[in-house]
Amino acid sequence: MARDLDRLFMVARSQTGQVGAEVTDLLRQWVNREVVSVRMEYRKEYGKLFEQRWRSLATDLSIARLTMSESRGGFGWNKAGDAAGLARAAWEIGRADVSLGLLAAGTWIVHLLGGDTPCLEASPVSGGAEGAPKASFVLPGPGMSGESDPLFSGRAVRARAVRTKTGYELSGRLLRPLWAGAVADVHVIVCALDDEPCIAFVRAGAEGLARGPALSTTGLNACTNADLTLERVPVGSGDILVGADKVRMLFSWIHLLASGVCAGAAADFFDLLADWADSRTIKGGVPLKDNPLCASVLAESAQEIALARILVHDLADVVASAGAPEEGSAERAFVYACTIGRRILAGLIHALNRGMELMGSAGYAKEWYVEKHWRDIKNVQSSLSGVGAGVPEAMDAARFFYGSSPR
Amino acid sequence: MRHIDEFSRPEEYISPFDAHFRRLIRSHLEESVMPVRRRFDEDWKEHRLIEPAFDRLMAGLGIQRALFPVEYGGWGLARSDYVFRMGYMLCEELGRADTGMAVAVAVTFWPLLTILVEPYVNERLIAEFAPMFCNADHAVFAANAMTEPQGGSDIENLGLLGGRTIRTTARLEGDRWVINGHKLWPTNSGGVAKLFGVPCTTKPGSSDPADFAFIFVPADTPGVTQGGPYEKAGMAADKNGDIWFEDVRVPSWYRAHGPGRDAEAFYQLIPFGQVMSCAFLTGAMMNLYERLVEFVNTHTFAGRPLKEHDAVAAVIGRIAGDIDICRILGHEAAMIGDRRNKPYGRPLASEQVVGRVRNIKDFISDTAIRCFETAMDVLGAYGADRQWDIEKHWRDIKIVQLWMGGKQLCQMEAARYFFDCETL
Ligand SMILES: Cc1cc2nc3c(=O)[nH]c(=O)nc-3n(C[C@H](O)[C@H](O)[C@H](O)COP(=O)(O)OP(=O)(O)OC[C@H]3O[C@@H](n4cnc5c(N)ncnc54)[C@H](O)[C@@H]3O)c2cc1C
Repeated sequence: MARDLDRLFMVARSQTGQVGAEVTDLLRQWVNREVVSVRMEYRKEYGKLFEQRWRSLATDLSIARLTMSESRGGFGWNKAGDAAGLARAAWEIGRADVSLGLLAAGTWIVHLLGGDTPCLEASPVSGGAEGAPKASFVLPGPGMSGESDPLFSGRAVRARAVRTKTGYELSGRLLRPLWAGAVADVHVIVCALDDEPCIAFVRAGAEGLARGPALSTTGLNACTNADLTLERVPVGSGDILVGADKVRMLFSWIHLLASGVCAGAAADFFDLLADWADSRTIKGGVPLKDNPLCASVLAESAQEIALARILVHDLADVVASAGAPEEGSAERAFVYACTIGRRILAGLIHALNRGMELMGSAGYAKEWYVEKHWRDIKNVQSSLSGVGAGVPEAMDAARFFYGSSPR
Repeated sequence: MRHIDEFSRPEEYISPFDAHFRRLIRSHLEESVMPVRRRFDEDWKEHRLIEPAFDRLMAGLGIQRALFPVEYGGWGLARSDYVFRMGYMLCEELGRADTGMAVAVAVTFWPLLTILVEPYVNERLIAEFAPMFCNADHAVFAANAMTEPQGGSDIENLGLLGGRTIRTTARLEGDRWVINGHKLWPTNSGGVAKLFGVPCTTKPGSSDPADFAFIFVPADTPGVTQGGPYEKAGMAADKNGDIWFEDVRVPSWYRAHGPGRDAEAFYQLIPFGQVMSCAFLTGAMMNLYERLVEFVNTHTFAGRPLKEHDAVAAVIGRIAGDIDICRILGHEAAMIGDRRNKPYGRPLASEQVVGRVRNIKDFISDTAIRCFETAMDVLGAYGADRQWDIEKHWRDIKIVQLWMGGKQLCQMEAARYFFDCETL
């Protein structure tokens, strides 16, 4: 059944502009044509078709242009105030495939944060206006026993930058990206420069950069991950963004766009679940969706997905507000982004778990595609948990709201 | 650091043989399954790695003989007062290593329980099928083919529907049953099982228990066709597919017991399945603990080992605490089963046993899923990494919550039992 997902999972009008709507429409048509309507084929030939679809997003739709500056031939959605439009776009691509959505989001973030860095300018993948580099992100996370790393709000920063005559050198062992470490064109790595957190942009072929073997992971199978080891990798002076606020904005954008992508995937999950509920009967002939218990579970699943979409757009407002010159706005956006992002992903996993309960074995079979969304979203949730199942975010919130200094 | 064997269970419930068998099985699994299990997912179709592992376990260690009487070369476990608890021990150890293997082993016993456990014993069928399992030098599997395309839950919901939705039919022609129908999803289908237990109806649409039949069908009987295995989110060691029965003829005495008693014998499979599901889950949870211990000792937050950070400690403390509680409950469920013949126990096919055991399984599966999900988030960027095993268990155990009629049927059976609901 053709369902109007925008009507079902609403977004306040005030949060969507006209330009955003055009981009969204275009993406929606592309997603429906290229993935949703051919899900079975897409799943069966995933390895091949994923790459084709990614290329099509990058070149036919010039996805990277969205966040490139107008002077470089882009759409110019490269300000915090464009967060809502990007969140909508992330939602649409997420409906197709979380991996596609994360790669698109990664490209946007690279251009949003590092738009003018020479590394990107020089990179063949981003040379033209269509250039959509696949990006991986190494955020501060768990430390390793026996190592003493600089900390970013309790999280270990395991890469270090040192100044050289021409720029910097970056070192770090077995750094774990969130995803896409094995396939990225650009690695965005949070590192420490004299204990100050910063973001380095490192091209995949950089001298001294080694990628470990491909990791097998729960989901995100097209964003194959691998650990990175850097031995004095030269980084140009323009390829490092210095300062905690930059890192906070990186966290904020990742939380916003990853949760937007996952909310989109959950909306596609809803579509599949609704198909199932329309046709399945239990108790010898009662439509599943008319059984009060099943109806309540279906409702819970849809309610969580609806709430997630609203939260994504609230989060977009928060990220947009980080552009304000007011002191502490990046920190506030960071705390809110981590809090809301976590809440969205927890709600989505709950929605998928509950929905899968009603699909019996069908939900567990790869044929139905729902299990893929479930694995992908869980993968994102765990990766963004950083470490300790939300403890770092709780410490940040305690600091922000109460002025605590948890040790 | 605590050892997994220190997780609580009522010690007075434990069989005197438990420690010996547990040690034997554990060391076998640690040597031949745990080192290769991370490669099982890619082996879901071919079972190139999995099949030899089963051969060593089922035939080499002799587990496939366990239920059969000693006179056939078995271990006589079906006649033991400890059948549920020994099954629990075995399934818990298997679950710790790989729940897909655990279910494939347990389901081999499943249909056979309808003819091996008092008061539903069929000596002639035991003599017929024991050699298939006891004399083989390779793994031999059975399957319990309940689920049909229109739904599995209704077939298991015998209390309410009395089998009226079953579409697989059995017609008596002379001294043969002629079976027609389509089953899907049974564990050990997809070309694995040599023997099927097939719940079917002798009168389609009837909810009279006398019209329910449980008939054994050797997989090589003409008219039986099996499809290839489905690709799933996890449980790669278990193959599941379609089975078509087209005018399949088997001797009339392949029916387990006859009108009325077949339904009772089948209904007692529900508690068996649910108790062993609990064991798969607590086994996997014990392995979760082992892996989590390693992670929280070797990784830090705020410069301290994760386990020494108060807020992280609260999270992992809850996980371990939940494992402890679930293990007690799982053993209680096993004990409910083993009390079946005692004056203070209840028959397996009673609503009391089915309702309570389904309730415990529902609780443990929800808790297990929560524990695994939280543990993956404790590991953060490492949570989705198969090297840490936790994500594999998480994918594998999700189906334990969904199978055997799903979560909602568990809730309904519990309500029926505790509140005397009459229409659910
Ligand atoms: C790895 C694996 C192993 C399996 N092993 C076996 C096996 O050995 N043998 C076998 O026969 N099958 C097996 N199955 C199938 C499994 O047991 C069934 O899929 C399960 O019982 C649910 O049936 P279904 O998928 O047809 O869902 P349905 O029966 O269509 O039920 C769908 C959902 O409806 C809801 N529901 C059902 N009844 C009620 C009710 N009365 N009230 C409220 N809600 C209700 C539940 O949420 C249920 O999940 C296996 C499946 C897998 C994936």
